[in-house]
Amino acid sequence: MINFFNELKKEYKLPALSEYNLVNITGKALYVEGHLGLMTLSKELISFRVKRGVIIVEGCGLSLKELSENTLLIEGKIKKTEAIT
Amino acid sequence: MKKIIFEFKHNKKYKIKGVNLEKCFNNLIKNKIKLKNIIKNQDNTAEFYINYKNDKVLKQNLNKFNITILEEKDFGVQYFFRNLFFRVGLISACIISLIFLFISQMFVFKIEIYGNDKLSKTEIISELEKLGVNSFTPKSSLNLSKLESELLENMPEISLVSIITKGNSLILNLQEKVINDEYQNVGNFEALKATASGRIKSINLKQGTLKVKVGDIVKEGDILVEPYIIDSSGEKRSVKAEAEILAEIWFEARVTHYDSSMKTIKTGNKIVKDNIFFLNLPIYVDKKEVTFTEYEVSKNIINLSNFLIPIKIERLTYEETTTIKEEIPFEDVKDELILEAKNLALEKAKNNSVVDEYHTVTSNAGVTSISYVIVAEGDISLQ
Repeated sequence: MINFFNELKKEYKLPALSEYNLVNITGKALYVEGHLGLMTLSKELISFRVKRGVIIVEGCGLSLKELSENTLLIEGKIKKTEAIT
Repeated sequence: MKKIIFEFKHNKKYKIKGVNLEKCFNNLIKNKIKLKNIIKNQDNTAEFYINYKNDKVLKQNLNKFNITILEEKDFGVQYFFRNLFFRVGLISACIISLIFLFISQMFVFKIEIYGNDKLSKTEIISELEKLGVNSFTPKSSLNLSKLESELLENMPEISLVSIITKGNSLILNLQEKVINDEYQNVGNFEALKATASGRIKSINLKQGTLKVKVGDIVKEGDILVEPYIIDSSGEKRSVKAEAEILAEIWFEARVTHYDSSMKTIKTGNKIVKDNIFFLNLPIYVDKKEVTFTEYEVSKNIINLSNFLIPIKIERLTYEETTTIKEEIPFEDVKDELILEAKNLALEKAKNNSVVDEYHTVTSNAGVTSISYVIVAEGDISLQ
């Protein structure tokens, strides 16, 4: 998978982005860059660590479409995304 | 989930079970392993895909976290073709083997020969080779009935031959001709000759043509039976001459006595000369002079060094002799001479049963001759 935010930064010469970035695609997928590791994984809840906090994603039929060292892509019906610092 | 099956790359699907799967996944991604399509079920099982190259590292990690692999499956176009190549290889090997087997069935690899006794296998095989049959001969080129007749024609020792092919073998069953001894050397028989002189007493002819009759006196070497017969058609046919011919055989021994004779005796005087040789070359020659007018010389060679050093001594002994005239009247030694003649005759007649014996004495001018004759009975046809 391409590193979307890095490509964006290069293309438009944007200033430095934050430690992590995520994008929710119409509540059906969530793309994250800069995660620091998976904490919980289930069909209803996926949580992962980011710098200075934890991101919790709630929904149904959730799955990790891709998980790599820096990025992850969650697929399923996303109801709520919460950042706990 | 199914989409991944049609991916080009070779991926593996895993179903695993264990606690703290998230920690394990974090460890895997730290090792630069990319996980795809991760689904975690409520019963602590999870399914995911990875590239097959990461298989080894994955398994090490799963072991480390005490996670059990429930299912393992390969996907991807690469895998499909790799698998296909393996299968194609296997099928090709089978097809090649079948082709080889089929081709090999078309040739003769082994020649088996049964029924030979006097003829050796090598002789028969070399004869077959002359007829163009050997190992690796195509079976289609064999004309078995022609081969049988050619073999019979070329090998007169064979009376019957049957040739068949079985698998890769050419099997020859043959029967050799039985030749009687009487006919084996036709024309090469010898006549039966008398082994001693005598008068024939009885004849038992077994085979051949008889040349003597009872009462005939024959000398040693006379022909008794000729090696042929005249058959009913009047033809002369060679056979081995065989007969049992008993005869009165005379074994004669003769001893001659001279009333006066010259005798040489040794006087006891002798001269010894030693010559030394090295490698058969004389290195010392004894130059003593022999003064005897009559003498006898004896030579004795002594090797000095058991062949290590080739030195030998040649010892010549000269013994002086003198000749004296000796007169012994026949009557003084008559009995001894008769006994001597008898022993000589008996020596000749051994192996025969003695029937009679007599001796005659003839004397003329001081020379007396005793002839002792042993009359025996024996087979003079023994060869």
